[in-house]
Amino acid sequence: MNLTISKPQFFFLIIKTQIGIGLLSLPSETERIAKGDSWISVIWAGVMIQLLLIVYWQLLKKFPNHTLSEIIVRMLGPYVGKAINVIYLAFFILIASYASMLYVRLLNTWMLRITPVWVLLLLIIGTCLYLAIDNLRVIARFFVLSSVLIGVLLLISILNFSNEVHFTNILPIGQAGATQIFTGSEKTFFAMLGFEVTLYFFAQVEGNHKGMFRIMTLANCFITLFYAYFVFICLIGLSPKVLEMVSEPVLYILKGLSYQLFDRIDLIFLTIWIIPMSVTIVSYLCMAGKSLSHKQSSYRKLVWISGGLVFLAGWYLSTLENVDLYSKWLEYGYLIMIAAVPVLLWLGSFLMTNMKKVGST
Amino acid sequence: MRRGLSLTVCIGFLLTNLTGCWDVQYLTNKKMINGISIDTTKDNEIMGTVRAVILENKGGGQFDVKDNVVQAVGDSVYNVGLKIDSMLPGTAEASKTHIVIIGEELAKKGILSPLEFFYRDPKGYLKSNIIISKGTAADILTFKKIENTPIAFGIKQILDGSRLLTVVPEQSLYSLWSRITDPGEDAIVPMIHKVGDKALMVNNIALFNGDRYSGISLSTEYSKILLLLKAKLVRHAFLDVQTKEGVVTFEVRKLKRSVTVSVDEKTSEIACSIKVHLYGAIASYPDGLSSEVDKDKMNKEIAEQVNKEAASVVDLLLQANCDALGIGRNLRAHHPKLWKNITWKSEYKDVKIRPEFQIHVTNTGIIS
Repeated sequence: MNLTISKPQFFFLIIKTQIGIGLLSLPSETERIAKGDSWISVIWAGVMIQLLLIVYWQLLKKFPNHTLSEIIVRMLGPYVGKAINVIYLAFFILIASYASMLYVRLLNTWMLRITPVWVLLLLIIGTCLYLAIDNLRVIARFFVLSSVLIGVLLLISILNFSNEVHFTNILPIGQAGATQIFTGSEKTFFAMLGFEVTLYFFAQVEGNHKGMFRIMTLANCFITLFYAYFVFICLIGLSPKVLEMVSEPVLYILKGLSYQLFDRIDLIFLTIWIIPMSVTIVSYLCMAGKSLSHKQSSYRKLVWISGGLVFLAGWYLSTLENVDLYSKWLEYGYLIMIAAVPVLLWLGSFLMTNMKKVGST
Repeated sequence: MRRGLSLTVCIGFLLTNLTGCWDVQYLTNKKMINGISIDTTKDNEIMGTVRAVILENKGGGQFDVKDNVVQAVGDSVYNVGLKIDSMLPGTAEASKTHIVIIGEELAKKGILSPLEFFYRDPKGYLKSNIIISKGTAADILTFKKIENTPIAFGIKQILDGSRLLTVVPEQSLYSLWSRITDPGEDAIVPMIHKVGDKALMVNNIALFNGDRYSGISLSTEYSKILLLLKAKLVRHAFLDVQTKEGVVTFEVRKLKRSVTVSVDEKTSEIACSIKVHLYGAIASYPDGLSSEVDKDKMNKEIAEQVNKEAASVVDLLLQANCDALGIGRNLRAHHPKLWKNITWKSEYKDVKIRPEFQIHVTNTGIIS
């Protein structure tokens, strides 16, 4: 449980949690709002996340050896703290199940059209559980190993430039107006969720007193640019109307590529993308485990239970005809948990008198 | 350790056994369709014709490729597809269709709705080449074999040949949708027609107005000029020019283009001037054996002829209301205020387009 991870591993933990299913449909969602300025929306969302990360950093600096759940218990007492941690647990489970539901839906439309939902869920969550019950060092190693795939994905996406592209699609810059750009960045913000792993994994980073903020900033910059890049290639590769119509433009632009040796690059891309999508669920399961337990044995049990709950909730969600309302509630509720609560905790930490003792434990 | 092992075995078992269970598709049960043609009938129904590939095993890993024709009529393309599926042994698969031919009459009614199915289907093959046929498309697809290869492959090869000579543009299902829905540019699509009963030719360009074929097509000479105006030189292009001394064939090898779109502030008249420099060689000059080629004179004579043709191309573009040159896109990017206040489709025909070619003969082959 108390095995440490290195700083590069921490970097990959953050970015791999953030890269997930949200990106595939992001370009069309922002296009509907911010038109040709979608890429600005993405960068703006990155700036907002950076502001949030500053708060995280200030909070974590005061409790370098504590995860968020421990900080909460410490500041709010065992009863209120536990109650809030249970809410966190519930949110992590719901987010994981929502993500796995989207994931199964995607697979059902693009690749495996007849395979029943429960089989896909079982395979995904089963694999994720297998990784999540291990200690953080093992998880981090896998994340680092699998991030080689990000390079492959970037390489594949460069192929898109062999299609006809029109850079003028993003001109004139600022055409949509500030309001639209900000509304668009809200969508992006939810697609970029995952940076909150910082709050839980920070405590286990080796030598986390120095240079941590740089790692967090670096991870955020990477993700923001990565997302902006994908939005950008969709903007220049498709006409605005088509971009609005297509539900997963990142896959769709690859459908227009064909080579003597390779065909249907979109399916190859999706097959690789499955790994970043799955590790997101691993991260959430891991956080669910860490939210209530501190020992490895109880952590394992909790992760097992959460995995089961994610499976059931995911299955239930996939039977719903319309999840829009649900997703809205979930997103805003989650926003309170990862933005409002840490900010309040940070403000609250100024009121604590025994601050200095905390750091030495 | 034991738990890890049992979990591995369990997951391994699931992975190996379950993935293919529902979505398994055997190649032997499939009927690959390599060419589709879509027409409209007199009663406004859709007539679809497909070419399905038959692989005959000759033994020793050798296959003989044959194909057969199936035709059906229905309300929508999908509906026709279902009917055709039930006529063919095995499941019809359009996931490797090389060409989609749309009949002229259907294209005039709008091209997107018959093609919708290809875009919606996750298995759809968006790299299919799209061609408009003169007359009905079924006539083209039911053409007898080309050199013993299935007709769809033959058509694809003819199309590729024309494309490399810069006679027709490359247009796949994927690129077509973006072009048609683009507010600042109109699509141009290759056209195929029969030459008597002997051959098929792909050497014209259909001009689109929105998602409808305008009914105006460009002949071979004009198609080349349009593609050169769009700076879409593939490998080379051959321009036949009638000079005073006789016919000259000029091979374009390099191209430089500059486009300026200007708006008159008072009259808000839109003007577009396109300057194209063509560099290349004299490929043939049957009457030029007696004396050396005067390059300067040749440059001028070819340019004069080409400019004359370019003016007619522009006239046809305006007549078809087809903004193939993407002037709208340029306006949108550089004159956004004007763009917001006009309806481009109605404004386009008043645009002054001034094409100007300059020819640079850099090479006269191995005789001067």
